[in-house]
Amino acid sequence: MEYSQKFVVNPAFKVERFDNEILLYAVSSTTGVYLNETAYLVWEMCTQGHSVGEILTLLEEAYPRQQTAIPGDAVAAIESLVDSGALIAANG
Amino acid sequence: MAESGCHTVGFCDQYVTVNSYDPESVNLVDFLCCDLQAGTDAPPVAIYDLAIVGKKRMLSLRQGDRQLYFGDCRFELAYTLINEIIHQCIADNRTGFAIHAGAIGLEEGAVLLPGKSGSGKSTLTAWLVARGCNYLTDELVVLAGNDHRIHPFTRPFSLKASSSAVLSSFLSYARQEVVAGASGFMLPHRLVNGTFSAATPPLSLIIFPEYKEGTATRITKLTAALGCARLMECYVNARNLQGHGFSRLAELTRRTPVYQLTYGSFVGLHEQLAESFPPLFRRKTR
Repeated sequence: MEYSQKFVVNPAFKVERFDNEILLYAVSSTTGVYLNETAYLVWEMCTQGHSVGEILTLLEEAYPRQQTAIPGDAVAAIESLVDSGALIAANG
Repeated sequence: MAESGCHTVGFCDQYVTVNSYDPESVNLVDFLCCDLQAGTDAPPVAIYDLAIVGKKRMLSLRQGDRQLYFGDCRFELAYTLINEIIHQCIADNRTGFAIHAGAIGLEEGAVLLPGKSGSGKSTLTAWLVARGCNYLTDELVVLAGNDHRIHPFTRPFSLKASSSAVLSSFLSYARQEVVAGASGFMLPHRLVNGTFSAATPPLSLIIFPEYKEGTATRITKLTAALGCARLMECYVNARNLQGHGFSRLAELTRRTPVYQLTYGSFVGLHEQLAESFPPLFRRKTR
Protein backbone atom coordinates (compact mmCIF):
# COMPACT_ATOMS: atom_id res chain seq x y z
CA MET A 1 0.00 0.00 0.00
CA GLU A 2 1.37 3.41 -1.00
CA TYR A 3 1.97 5.73 1.95
CA SER A 4 0.73 8.70 -0.10
CA GLN A 5 -2.61 6.98 -0.70
CA LYS A 6 -5.67 8.64 0.77
CA PHE A 7 -9.08 7.11 1.36
CA VAL A 8 -12.53 8.61 1.70
CA VAL A 9 -15.47 7.13 3.55
CA ASN A 10 -18.23 5.55 1.53
CA PRO A 11 -21.30 7.77 2.02
CA ALA A 12 -23.60 4.77 1.67
CA PHE A 13 -22.56 3.64 5.13
CA LYS A 14 -24.47 4.97 8.12
CA VAL A 15 -22.32 5.57 11.18
CA GLU A 16 -23.16 4.78 14.79
CA ARG A 17 -20.59 6.00 17.28
CA PHE A 18 -20.15 4.25 20.59
CA ASP A 19 -17.56 5.10 23.28
CA ASN A 20 -14.38 3.90 21.55
CA GLU A 21 -15.91 1.98 18.70
CA ILE A 22 -17.92 2.52 15.57
CA LEU A 23 -20.47 0.47 13.73
CA LEU A 24 -21.01 1.09 10.05
CA TYR A 25 -24.00 -0.12 8.13
CA ALA A 26 -24.89 0.08 4.45
CA VAL A 27 -28.62 -0.26 3.89
CA SER A 28 -28.22 -0.93 0.18
CA SER A 29 -26.01 -3.98 0.68
CA THR A 30 -27.13 -4.85 4.25
CA THR A 31 -23.46 -4.87 5.20
CA GLY A 32 -22.45 -4.17 8.79
CA VAL A 33 -18.88 -3.40 9.79
CA TYR A 34 -17.64 -3.34 13.36
CA LEU A 35 -14.61 -1.11 14.01
CA ASN A 36 -12.44 -1.78 17.03
CA GLU A 37 -10.41 0.97 18.65
CA THR A 38 -7.59 0.84 16.07
CA ALA A 39 -9.96 0.74 13.12
CA TYR A 40 -11.96 3.55 14.72
CA LEU A 41 -8.86 5.78 14.84
CA VAL A 42 -7.96 4.91 11.26
CA TRP A 43 -11.50 5.68 10.15
CA GLU A 44 -11.47 9.05 11.94
CA MET A 45 -8.17 10.00 10.32
CA CYS A 46 -9.42 9.01 6.89
CA THR A 47 -12.44 11.27 7.40
CA GLN A 48 -9.96 14.08 8.16
CA GLY A 49 -8.20 13.54 4.82
CA HIS A 50 -4.94 12.00 6.06
CA SER A 51 -2.86 9.73 3.85
CA VAL A 52 -1.72 6.28 4.94
CA GLY A 53 1.75 7.61 5.82
CA GLU A 54 0.28 10.46 7.86
CA ILE A 55 -2.01 8.04 9.69
CA LEU A 56 0.93 5.82 10.63
CA THR A 57 2.97 8.79 11.84
CA LEU A 58 0.11 10.15 13.92
CA LEU A 59 -0.55 6.75 15.50
CA GLU A 60 3.15 6.18 16.26
CA GLU A 61 3.34 9.60 17.93
CA ALA A 62 0.22 8.89 19.96
CA TYR A 63 1.29 5.37 20.97
CA PRO A 64 5.12 5.33 21.08
CA ARG A 65 5.26 2.03 22.98
CA GLN A 66 3.39 0.26 20.20
CA GLN A 67 5.45 1.61 17.32
CA THR A 68 6.38 -1.83 16.00
CA ALA A 69 2.81 -3.10 15.90
CA ILE A 70 1.17 0.03 14.52
CA PRO A 71 2.08 -0.22 10.81
CA GLY A 72 0.77 -3.77 10.51
CA ASP A 73 -2.38 -3.14 12.57
CA ALA A 74 -3.24 0.12 10.84
CA VAL A 75 -2.67 -1.19 7.30
CA ALA A 76 -4.70 -4.31 8.14
CA ALA A 77 -7.52 -2.09 9.41
CA ILE A 78 -7.45 0.01 6.23
CA GLU A 79 -7.44 -3.09 4.02
CA SER A 80 -10.35 -4.55 5.96
CA LEU A 81 -12.33 -1.32 5.62
CA VAL A 82 -11.58 -1.18 1.89
CA ASP A 83 -12.59 -4.84 1.45
CA SER A 84 -15.92 -4.20 3.16
CA GLY A 85 -16.54 -1.17 0.96
CA ALA A 86 -16.53 1.28 3.86
CA LEU A 87 -13.44 3.11 2.57
CA ILE A 88 -12.79 4.06 -1.05
CA ALA A 89 -9.42 5.07 -2.52
CA ALA A 90 -9.53 8.86 -2.95
CA ASN A 91 -7.92 8.78 -6.37
CA GLY A 92 -9.07 5.26 -7.20
CA MET B 1 -62.06 -35.00 19.65
CA ALA B 2 -62.89 -32.53 16.87
CA GLU B 3 -63.33 -34.09 13.42
CA SER B 4 -62.09 -30.94 11.71
CA GLY B 5 -60.88 -27.51 12.65
CA CYS B 6 -60.24 -23.98 11.52
CA HIS B 7 -57.56 -22.21 13.52
CA THR B 8 -56.82 -18.56 12.83
CA VAL B 9 -53.69 -17.78 14.77
CA GLY B 10 -50.75 -15.46 14.55
CA PHE B 11 -48.32 -13.07 16.03
CA CYS B 12 -47.97 -9.28 16.24
CA ASP B 13 -51.32 -8.73 14.55
CA GLN B 14 -50.60 -10.85 11.49
CA TYR B 15 -52.68 -13.99 11.24
CA VAL B 16 -52.92 -17.16 9.20
CA THR B 17 -55.72 -19.69 8.99
CA VAL B 18 -55.00 -23.40 9.19
CA ASN B 19 -57.83 -25.69 8.12
CA SER B 20 -57.51 -29.25 9.32
CA TYR B 21 -59.70 -32.08 8.09
CA ASP B 22 -59.27 -34.94 10.54
CA PRO B 23 -58.77 -35.32 14.30
CA GLU B 24 -55.04 -36.02 14.04
CA SER B 25 -54.46 -32.83 12.05
CA VAL B 26 -56.58 -30.85 14.51
CA ASN B 27 -54.44 -32.19 17.35
CA LEU B 28 -51.22 -31.27 15.58
CA VAL B 29 -52.35 -27.69 14.98
CA ASP B 30 -53.45 -27.44 18.63
CA PHE B 31 -50.04 -28.73 19.67
CA LEU B 32 -48.20 -26.17 17.56
CA CYS B 33 -50.38 -23.11 17.92
CA CYS B 34 -52.06 -23.26 21.32
CA ASP B 35 -50.02 -20.32 22.65
CA LEU B 36 -50.26 -18.07 19.59
CA GLN B 37 -52.68 -15.16 19.43
CA ALA B 38 -56.15 -16.07 18.26
CA GLY B 39 -57.14 -14.28 15.10
CA THR B 40 -59.48 -11.37 14.67
CA ASP B 41 -62.02 -10.66 11.95
CA ALA B 42 -59.26 -9.28 9.76
CA PRO B 43 -58.51 -11.48 6.74
CA PRO B 44 -55.59 -13.87 7.25
CA VAL B 45 -52.38 -13.29 5.31
CA ALA B 46 -52.33 -16.95 4.27
CA ILE B 47 -54.56 -20.02 4.41
CA TYR B 48 -53.20 -23.54 4.87
CA ASP B 49 -54.90 -26.90 4.49
CA LEU B 50 -53.68 -29.80 6.56
CA ALA B 51 -55.00 -33.31 6.03
CA ILE B 52 -54.25 -37.00 6.11
CA VAL B 53 -54.83 -38.44 2.66
CA GLY B 54 -54.95 -41.82 0.93
CA LYS B 55 -54.83 -45.39 2.15
CA LYS B 56 -51.28 -44.88 3.37
CA ARG B 57 -52.48 -41.95 5.49
CA MET B 58 -49.91 -39.54 4.18
CA LEU B 59 -49.67 -36.08 5.72
CA SER B 60 -50.39 -33.21 3.37
CA LEU B 61 -49.85 -29.50 3.89
CA ARG B 62 -50.96 -27.13 1.17
CA GLN B 63 -51.27 -23.40 0.66
CA GLY B 64 -53.62 -23.06 -2.27
CA ASP B 65 -51.86 -24.73 -5.19
CA ARG B 66 -48.57 -25.04 -3.36
CA GLN B 67 -47.84 -28.45 -1.86
CA LEU B 68 -45.62 -27.53 1.10
CA TYR B 69 -45.29 -31.00 2.55
CA PHE B 70 -46.37 -34.50 1.56
CA GLY B 71 -44.99 -37.43 3.48
CA ASP B 72 -45.29 -39.51 6.60
CA CYS B 73 -43.24 -37.55 9.14
CA ARG B 74 -45.27 -35.51 11.62
CA PHE B 75 -42.18 -33.62 12.73
CA GLU B 76 -41.26 -32.51 9.20
CA LEU B 77 -44.82 -31.38 8.63
CA ALA B 78 -44.96 -29.54 11.96
CA TYR B 79 -41.59 -27.91 11.30
CA THR B 80 -42.71 -26.78 7.84
CA LEU B 81 -46.01 -25.40 9.10
CA ILE B 82 -44.59 -23.48 12.06
CA ASN B 83 -41.89 -21.92 9.89
CA GLU B 84 -44.54 -20.92 7.36
CA ILE B 85 -46.53 -19.22 10.12
CA ILE B 86 -43.44 -17.40 11.35
CA HIS B 87 -42.58 -16.26 7.84
CA GLN B 88 -46.09 -14.98 7.13
CA CYS B 89 -46.30 -13.13 10.44
CA ILE B 90 -42.92 -11.45 10.04
CA ALA B 91 -42.70 -10.78 6.30
CA ASP B 92 -44.42 -7.39 6.53
CA ASN B 93 -44.00 -6.74 10.22
CA ARG B 94 -43.11 -3.12 10.98
CA THR B 95 -44.02 -3.02 14.65
CA GLY B 96 -40.52 -3.60 15.96
CA PHE B 97 -37.31 -5.60 15.64
CA ALA B 98 -37.90 -9.26 14.80
CA ILE B 99 -34.96 -11.10 16.31
CA HIS B 100 -34.07 -14.76 15.91
CA ALA B 101 -33.75 -15.58 19.61
CA GLY B 102 -34.86 -17.61 22.55
CA ALA B 103 -36.30 -15.68 25.49
CA ILE B 104 -37.20 -16.30 29.10
CA GLY B 105 -39.06 -14.21 31.64
CA LEU B 106 -38.00 -13.57 35.22
CA GLU B 107 -39.54 -11.43 37.95
CA GLU B 108 -37.14 -8.61 37.19
CA GLY B 109 -37.46 -8.65 33.42
CA ALA B 110 -36.71 -10.77 30.40
CA VAL B 111 -33.53 -12.26 29.00
CA LEU B 112 -33.02 -12.48 25.25
CA LEU B 113 -30.87 -15.34 23.91
CA PRO B 114 -30.20 -14.47 20.27
CA GLY B 115 -28.40 -16.86 17.99
CA LYS B 116 -28.32 -18.48 14.63
CA SER B 117 -29.48 -22.02 14.11
CA GLY B 118 -27.18 -24.44 15.93
CA SER B 119 -25.95 -21.95 18.52
CA GLY B 120 -27.66 -23.90 21.30
CA LYS B 121 -30.26 -21.28 22.11
CA SER B 122 -33.21 -23.72 22.21
CA THR B 123 -31.40 -26.14 24.51
CA LEU B 124 -30.25 -23.34 26.82
CA THR B 125 -33.75 -21.87 26.85
CA ALA B 126 -35.16 -25.31 27.76
CA TRP B 127 -32.63 -25.69 30.56
CA LEU B 128 -33.47 -22.28 32.01
CA VAL B 129 -37.20 -22.99 31.77
CA ALA B 130 -36.66 -26.35 33.50
CA ARG B 131 -35.02 -24.39 36.32
CA GLY B 132 -38.10 -22.24 36.86
CA CYS B 133 -37.84 -19.41 34.34
CA ASN B 134 -41.00 -18.51 32.45
CA TYR B 135 -40.91 -19.74 28.86
CA LEU B 136 -41.41 -17.11 26.21
CA THR B 137 -39.96 -18.60 23.01
CA ASP B 138 -37.10 -20.64 21.63
CA GLU B 139 -37.17 -19.05 18.18
CA LEU B 140 -38.35 -15.50 17.61
CA VAL B 141 -39.29 -12.29 19.35
CA VAL B 142 -40.40 -8.88 18.26
CA LEU B 143 -38.98 -6.08 20.39
CA ALA B 144 -41.47 -3.23 20.30
CA GLY B 145 -42.17 0.04 22.06
CA ASN B 146 -39.87 2.48 23.80
CA ASP B 147 -39.19 0.02 26.61
CA HIS B 148 -38.46 -2.75 24.10
CA ARG B 149 -41.03 -5.19 25.36
CA ILE B 150 -40.53 -8.74 24.23
CA HIS B 151 -43.39 -10.10 22.14
CA PRO B 152 -42.54 -13.78 21.90
CA PHE B 153 -43.55 -16.28 19.26
CA THR B 154 -44.48 -18.99 21.75
CA ARG B 155 -44.37 -22.45 20.23
CA PRO B 156 -43.29 -25.90 21.45
CA PHE B 157 -39.54 -26.30 21.83
CA SER B 158 -38.05 -27.34 18.49
CA LEU B 159 -34.78 -29.18 18.98
CA LYS B 160 -32.29 -30.94 16.80
CA ALA B 161 -32.02 -34.71 17.23
CA SER B 162 -28.47 -34.20 18.50
CA SER B 163 -29.84 -32.18 21.44
CA SER B 164 -31.70 -35.12 22.95
CA ALA B 165 -28.70 -36.42 24.88
CA VAL B 166 -28.03 -33.01 26.42
CA LEU B 167 -31.72 -32.51 27.13
CA SER B 168 -32.00 -35.87 28.87
CA SER B 169 -29.35 -34.70 31.36
CA PHE B 170 -31.93 -32.42 32.98
CA LEU B 171 -35.31 -33.55 31.67
CA SER B 172 -37.19 -36.80 31.30
CA TYR B 173 -40.15 -37.25 28.99
CA ALA B 174 -41.92 -40.07 27.21
CA ARG B 175 -41.42 -40.47 23.47
CA GLN B 176 -45.16 -40.28 22.84
CA GLU B 177 -45.19 -36.79 24.38
CA VAL B 178 -43.05 -35.30 21.63
CA VAL B 179 -43.42 -34.93 17.88
CA ALA B 180 -40.24 -36.51 16.60
CA GLY B 181 -38.50 -37.13 13.30
CA ALA B 182 -35.06 -38.15 12.14
CA SER B 183 -33.68 -34.60 12.19
CA GLY B 184 -35.33 -33.25 15.31
CA PHE B 185 -38.23 -33.18 17.68
CA MET B 186 -40.76 -30.82 19.20
CA LEU B 187 -41.43 -30.81 22.89
CA PRO B 188 -44.37 -29.08 24.61
CA HIS B 189 -42.93 -26.39 26.86
CA ARG B 190 -45.39 -27.33 29.61
CA LEU B 191 -43.57 -30.65 29.92
CA VAL B 192 -40.43 -28.71 30.77
CA ASN B 193 -42.18 -26.38 33.20
CA GLY B 194 -45.89 -26.70 33.93
CA THR B 195 -46.11 -23.13 35.19
CA PHE B 196 -46.57 -20.83 32.23
CA SER B 197 -48.06 -17.41 31.83
CA ALA B 198 -48.19 -15.55 28.55
CA ALA B 199 -46.34 -12.28 28.94
CA THR B 200 -44.67 -9.41 27.08
CA PRO B 201 -42.01 -8.37 29.62
CA PRO B 202 -39.48 -5.57 29.10
CA LEU B 203 -36.03 -6.54 27.94
CA SER B 204 -33.44 -6.59 30.75
CA LEU B 205 -30.48 -8.50 29.42
CA ILE B 206 -29.10 -9.96 26.18
CA ILE B 207 -26.96 -13.09 26.27
CA PHE B 208 -25.53 -14.60 23.09
CA PRO B 209 -25.22 -18.33 23.77
CA GLU B 210 -22.62 -20.49 22.12
CA TYR B 211 -22.50 -24.20 22.86
CA LYS B 212 -19.05 -25.75 22.40
CA GLU B 213 -18.77 -29.28 23.63
CA GLY B 214 -16.03 -29.75 26.20
CA THR B 215 -15.30 -26.07 26.80
CA ALA B 216 -15.43 -24.40 30.20
CA THR B 217 -18.21 -21.93 30.86
CA ARG B 218 -17.21 -18.37 30.08
CA ILE B 219 -19.33 -15.25 30.42
CA THR B 220 -17.94 -12.18 28.64
CA LYS B 221 -19.34 -8.67 28.58
CA LEU B 222 -19.68 -7.30 25.07
CA THR B 223 -19.44 -3.63 24.23
CA ALA B 224 -22.59 -1.96 22.95
CA ALA B 225 -21.09 -1.74 19.46
CA LEU B 226 -20.17 -5.39 19.33
CA GLY B 227 -23.54 -6.32 20.83
CA CYS B 228 -25.29 -4.32 18.12
CA ALA B 229 -23.18 -5.95 15.40
CA ARG B 230 -24.02 -9.41 16.76
CA LEU B 231 -27.71 -8.56 17.11
CA MET B 232 -27.86 -7.44 13.50
CA GLU B 233 -26.82 -10.95 12.47
CA CYS B 234 -30.03 -12.26 14.09
CA TYR B 235 -32.30 -9.47 12.92
CA VAL B 236 -34.85 -10.77 10.42
CA ASN B 237 -37.13 -7.89 9.36
CA ALA B 238 -34.56 -5.15 8.77
CA ARG B 239 -35.86 -4.34 5.31
CA ASN B 240 -39.27 -3.37 6.76
CA LEU B 241 -37.87 -0.57 8.93
CA GLN B 242 -36.58 2.87 7.99
CA GLY B 243 -32.79 2.76 7.65
CA HIS B 244 -33.15 -0.91 8.55
CA GLY B 245 -33.69 0.21 12.15
CA PHE B 246 -29.93 0.50 12.54
CA SER B 247 -29.91 3.58 14.80
CA ARG B 248 -32.72 2.26 16.98
CA LEU B 249 -31.00 -1.09 17.37
CA ALA B 250 -27.80 0.71 18.38
CA GLU B 251 -29.78 2.65 20.97
CA LEU B 252 -31.19 -0.61 22.31
CA THR B 253 -27.72 -2.09 22.86
CA ARG B 254 -26.51 1.12 24.52
CA ARG B 255 -29.30 0.73 27.07
CA THR B 256 -29.21 -3.03 27.56
CA PRO B 257 -26.31 -5.08 28.95
CA VAL B 258 -25.01 -7.58 26.40
CA TYR B 259 -22.98 -10.71 27.17
CA GLN B 260 -21.53 -13.71 25.39
CA LEU B 261 -22.00 -17.06 27.13
CA THR B 262 -19.83 -19.92 25.94
CA TYR B 263 -20.67 -23.22 27.58
CA GLY B 264 -19.92 -26.88 27.17
CA SER B 265 -22.19 -28.34 29.82
CA PHE B 266 -24.81 -27.29 32.34
CA VAL B 267 -22.70 -28.31 35.32
CA GLY B 268 -22.13 -25.21 37.43
CA LEU B 269 -23.85 -22.97 34.88
CA HIS B 270 -26.56 -21.83 37.25
CA GLU B 271 -23.97 -20.74 39.81
CA GLN B 272 -22.08 -18.75 37.20
CA LEU B 273 -25.23 -17.07 35.92
CA ALA B 274 -26.28 -16.24 39.48
CA GLU B 275 -22.86 -14.77 40.16
CA SER B 276 -22.83 -12.70 36.97
CA PHE B 277 -26.47 -11.59 37.05
CA PRO B 278 -27.61 -11.81 40.68
CA PRO B 279 -30.81 -9.75 40.45
CA LEU B 280 -32.07 -11.85 37.57
CA PHE B 281 -31.06 -15.40 38.31
CA ARG B 282 -30.59 -15.89 42.04
CA ARG B 283 -34.10 -15.71 43.37
CA LYS B 284 -36.22 -17.11 40.61
CA THR B 285 -34.35 -20.20 39.52
CA ARG B 286 -34.33 -23.29 41.68
